[in-house]
Amino acid sequence: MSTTNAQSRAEIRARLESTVDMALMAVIIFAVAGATVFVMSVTIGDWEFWVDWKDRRFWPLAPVAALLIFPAGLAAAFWSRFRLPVACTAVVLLYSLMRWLSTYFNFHVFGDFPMSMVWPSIFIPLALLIDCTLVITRSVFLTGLIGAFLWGLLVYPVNWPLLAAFHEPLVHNGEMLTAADLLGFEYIRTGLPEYVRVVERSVLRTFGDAVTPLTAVFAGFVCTLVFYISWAAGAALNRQVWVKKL
Amino acid sequence: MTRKIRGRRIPLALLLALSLLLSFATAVFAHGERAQQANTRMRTLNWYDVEIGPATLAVGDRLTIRGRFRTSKLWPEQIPSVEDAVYLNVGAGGPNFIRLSANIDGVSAVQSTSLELGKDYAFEMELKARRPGRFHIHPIMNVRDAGSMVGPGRWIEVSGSETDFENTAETMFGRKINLETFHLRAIGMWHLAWFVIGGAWLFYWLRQRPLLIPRLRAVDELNERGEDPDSLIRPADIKVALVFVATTLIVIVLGFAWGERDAPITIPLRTAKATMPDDKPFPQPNAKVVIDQASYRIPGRSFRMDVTITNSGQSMLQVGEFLTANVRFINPAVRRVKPLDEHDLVAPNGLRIEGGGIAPGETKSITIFAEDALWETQRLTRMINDPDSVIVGLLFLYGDDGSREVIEVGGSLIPVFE
Repeated sequence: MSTTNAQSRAEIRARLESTVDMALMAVIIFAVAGATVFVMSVTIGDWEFWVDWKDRRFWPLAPVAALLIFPAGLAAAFWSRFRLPVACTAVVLLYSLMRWLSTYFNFHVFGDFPMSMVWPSIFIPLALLIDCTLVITRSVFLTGLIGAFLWGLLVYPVNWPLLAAFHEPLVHNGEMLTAADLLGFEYIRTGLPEYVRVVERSVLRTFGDAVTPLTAVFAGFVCTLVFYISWAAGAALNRQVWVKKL
Repeated sequence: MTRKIRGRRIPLALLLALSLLLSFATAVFAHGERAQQANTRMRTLNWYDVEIGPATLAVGDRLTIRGRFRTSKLWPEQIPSVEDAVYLNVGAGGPNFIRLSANIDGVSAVQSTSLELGKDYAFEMELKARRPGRFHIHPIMNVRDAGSMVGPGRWIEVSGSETDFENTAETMFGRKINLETFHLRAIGMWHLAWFVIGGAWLFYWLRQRPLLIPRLRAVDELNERGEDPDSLIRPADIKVALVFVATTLIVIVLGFAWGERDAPITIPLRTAKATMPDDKPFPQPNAKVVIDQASYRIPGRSFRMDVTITNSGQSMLQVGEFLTANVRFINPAVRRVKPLDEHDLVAPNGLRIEGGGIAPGETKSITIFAEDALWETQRLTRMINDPDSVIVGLLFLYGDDGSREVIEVGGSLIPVFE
């Protein structure tokens, strides 16, 4: 009789805990992914989807650095509380899903832009590298140094199979353009004139022509820094503080 | 049972409420041109001779927008001007058309450019209808850090089906591309591949049930005992992570190689500004116009301008039109202009002249009255509330030999309230 009671208590506990799992996961991950989509949209959204904004200098730097803020912060909570190395991948995967839905409905269905002009960038493998580095090293320092650096370093090669064809040159009315430029010119965006684009321009700096590798390495450094700051912020926000008196 | 029915009713009610709300929504066709301050619309860029047509066409047909604009010599100091960066654009309610070409004075306007104040420019854009519907099409000049200067619009009716629309191009290496669907298969395939790999990682870690509370308890217990919670990571987890790292890096390298093979020669995005010729002369009209006094009588919606005109040409001149902020006041004694549609901002009988024509070599004072409800409906009467009450517009003088002088006039405006 007592064995049956213990068994049933264990079953109830397991069921309750599973329910808590689902609820917590949904709240934490969807809230953070939702916040990430919002923050990305209002800060660096244009680089994230307009194909004629995906340049060699700013697109591999600004979106990746901004996108790392929430995954790294949540990773601190998931690692310190549960020793679960899934936060980065989960947030980025859900972010990518929401970004696809947002882009498809807002820009393609309602805005009527062709999807080839507004496709989202790929970030999932970069998140995987951070989570895997965390498991392999079990070190926040090394994860920032290696995983976050790779996050910034590899965004260009990860997206290159999607982007390369859009950078093939063509001649339009006597001018050389990329296919991405042509899309940007032809599909009318009244409120987004060409000069608004924050994209690479020619510079007089030394090694000015080695834009892609220099940006990749710089993005790696920036992302390492963003990772440490976000991790520290996530860890601080995750700390339990009991207020004794209001 | 009752609770179940109630549970279903709430979402249904919400859906119904949302549908009702949406049913009240109407399409927005304007581009906010009347929302800008009156004097800034008059003093920045005046469009004229604008032709947009044909008014009816089918999906895939071409639409031409051409005309001229004058950048004002009296451009307000506080508003960044066309001398920095401008972009010739179209107000078309989204990509209902695609833009095939654009030029200013024959210089391709694919990129932004810079212009000079007080000069006259010709422009032309060719569009191709993409979606059926009725659209109000305007030329627009985007001015960096200032905003958009919207030109006169025309309603265009597009028939046919969007499925008939095609937009193809060919790269320098002979790749024929359909810009509507270009590269979408590869984009979808790569995203899907990474979703699967990322999903597999999550599945590996999140497959246990229950997960969070037992792990939270375990981490807390290990911390309390002074042991390392990292011991929760098993050697198998590390092996799996290594496999995922290797897979990820291999797929990235393969993807990059695939991209390189797909497009071996690529160029960066184009960002150079289009350069306009620097020897463009200022307009040299055969007449000089000086505003002696300008007033606007609010109750009668009547604008009065006393001007002194010197005719240095060879033919008798008559004032035929006054244009400001896209509103055209026509003198019916000189020319007949009919509005092209219900939103064409033409007052066919809106201009009245006291003082007659100006003979060659003559200097004469005349009074010009521009009177029409368009002052009110286009919110130009709001200029009395603007911080600087200055009126600027283009005066069109017609010669009896068929010639035309386009002269920018501007000066202080005094409102008459009684």
